[in-house]
Amino acid sequence: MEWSRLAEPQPDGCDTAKILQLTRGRGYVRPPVNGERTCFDGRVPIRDLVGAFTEDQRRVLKPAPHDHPNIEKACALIRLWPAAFAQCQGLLESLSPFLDTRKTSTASSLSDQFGSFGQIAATVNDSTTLALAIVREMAHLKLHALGVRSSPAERILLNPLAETYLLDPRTGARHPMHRLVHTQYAATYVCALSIQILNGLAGPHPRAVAARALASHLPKLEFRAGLIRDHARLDRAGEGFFEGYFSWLDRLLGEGRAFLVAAEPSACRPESASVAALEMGRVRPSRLAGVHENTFINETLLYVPNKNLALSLNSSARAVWELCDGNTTVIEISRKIGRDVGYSDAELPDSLTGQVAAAVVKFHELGLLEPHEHLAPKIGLSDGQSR
Amino acid sequence: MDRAASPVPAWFRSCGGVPPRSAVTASASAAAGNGPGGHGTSVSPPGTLRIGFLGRAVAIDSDAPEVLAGVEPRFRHLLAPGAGQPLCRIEVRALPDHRYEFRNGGPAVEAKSLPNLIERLTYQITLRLMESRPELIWLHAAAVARHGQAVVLPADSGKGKSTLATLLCSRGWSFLADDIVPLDPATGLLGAFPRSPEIRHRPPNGSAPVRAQSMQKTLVDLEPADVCRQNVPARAVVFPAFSPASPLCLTPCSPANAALELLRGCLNFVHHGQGAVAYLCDWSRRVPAFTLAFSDPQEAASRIEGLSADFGAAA
Repeated sequence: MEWSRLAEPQPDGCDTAKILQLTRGRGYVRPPVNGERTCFDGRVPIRDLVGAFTEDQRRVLKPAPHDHPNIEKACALIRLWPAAFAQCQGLLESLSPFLDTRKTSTASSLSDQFGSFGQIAATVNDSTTLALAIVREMAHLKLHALGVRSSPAERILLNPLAETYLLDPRTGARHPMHRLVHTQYAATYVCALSIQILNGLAGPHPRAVAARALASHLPKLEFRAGLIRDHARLDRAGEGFFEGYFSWLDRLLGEGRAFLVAAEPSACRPESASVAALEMGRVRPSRLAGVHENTFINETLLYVPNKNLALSLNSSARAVWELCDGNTTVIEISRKIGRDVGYSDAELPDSLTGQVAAAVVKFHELGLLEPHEHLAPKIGLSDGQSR
Repeated sequence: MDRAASPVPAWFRSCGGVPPRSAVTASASAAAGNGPGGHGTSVSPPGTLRIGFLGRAVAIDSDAPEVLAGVEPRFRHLLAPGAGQPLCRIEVRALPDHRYEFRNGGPAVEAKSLPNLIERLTYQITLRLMESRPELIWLHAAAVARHGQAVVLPADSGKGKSTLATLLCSRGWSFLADDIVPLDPATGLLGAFPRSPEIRHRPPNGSAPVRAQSMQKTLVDLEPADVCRQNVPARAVVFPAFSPASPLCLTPCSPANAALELLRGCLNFVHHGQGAVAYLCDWSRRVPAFTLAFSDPQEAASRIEGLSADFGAAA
């Protein structure tokens, strides 16, 4: 077995096959689908889960209908990443849907307290966060099957539980290496799906959620990768696994940074920009209060304290940002910038309007603009999502 | 600026200059060349190693002389003899079968081998010393100095910062830090955290590509005279980006992007928050930054030297 091919979901499914082989070796037998409602093209049954939750969980989580529309929407988003979709089909024994009665759309999910491999439960309040939660739990399932557990790992990792590492420099939390690796691996799946969503033909809402997930996870991925590289003690299987993992991670980091660091109009997708531009005649974007601006000669570095998000704007993006004053429509912003570079209103090129709209969309996706009665439903950022 | 004639800023004074090897207690020093041994019921008397930074020290106590002999080269330039109360005391005990356990105020942690133990102790010691000085901005970077001015090399692991820092030291530069650099926001000066550098052995050209993180590391033994013992201003920030097939390319990095990269490598951002953002933005406005893509470290080091010479001419 090539352990280096186990980290990233493989198009030929060899990693899924290996996981199933390992679980079967421990006596696991996947129960058949018995006429229940299913997802993932009929491969994963939707089942109620009884008695597995803590008292606190039961207080806020109520069973959701098995035909909740967000389940299919989430599966459709995961389908944008075919290897992960196939892995869900192979590894998920069942999905138990719940609604979070606190009306948050952040999907919480569980996979390791049900006593059987492959069962996951997730809140379905939001389709995109549900999709991210499903792949996140699948990552945990994979690692568990490979032997990375909370008890001393039986394979891959050799670090003792008593040795802890700084998991997140912003919170100061310390955890043993196996937990750090679980967190890292699950976040890697989340980022990989987020990138697929941003690259795919998903709508503005999934794209906004995916961009926020990337912005949140990418810096932590990089930080934890350094800790793992420097401190993970690996057996032979682990060496192979992490060789493949870091190769995958390097690619993801490069693609993810391309979305986040270059917050400039030209980096935005033209199709989303043009769609947004059509809708922005009445939208008056307004910069979010509390964003710290650090200005340079040709650039601005923005810092959002409550998100710990920093990004730099080049001169073009800065010009758009400065005109997001709550009084100026996107079209008017385009005209003002056009005049600055010598265009009359009549000869304003569509490409410039599209780029301005793309920049505004990007600001919204990153949560940098105030909610707006017109902008919000058009861009899809205030439909109950938690920020 | 003449290094010997420059004033020593206040925040560095308590470090106490170049520590002599005698900072290692007699038992540890005597055991330094003995190689492995002393496992199980060691007959050597217990030894202590004190490693300090700006007046704060971590003490390593061990009944196994090979442990202190293994830690000492990594912190040779941070040894801090003295009898004051250390920040913490890490106790290391040898177990049968070449295993060890260490305790740092919590439950005992077992290490399966001496190299494994030394690496963990290095992490623990470094973390404790960093945490003892939270007012400094700790950057994930290497740094070297010449003529009283530093070039900072921030980068993720495997991008070549240690290799370049070591090469530049072999060309007469002074060593400030290999992996972690303290920046004092009160003075704007970089301090020395001269943990001995470790460089990776890269395969010869034409070999199959190997991940940087899987390459074996070797500790570089610097002479005390190679180590910069004063705080220095930064002359330039160079973000190294080693890649096996990359042509040499030095490109200016905009101040905002430099600030963003420095923030990404700010190891105690949780302590400073917005203060670090404001400070590193301001710092990036004053200190020019570059990205250096390279595959040949010698060429890259020469380019940094050329950059420094350009600055010298401009000054």
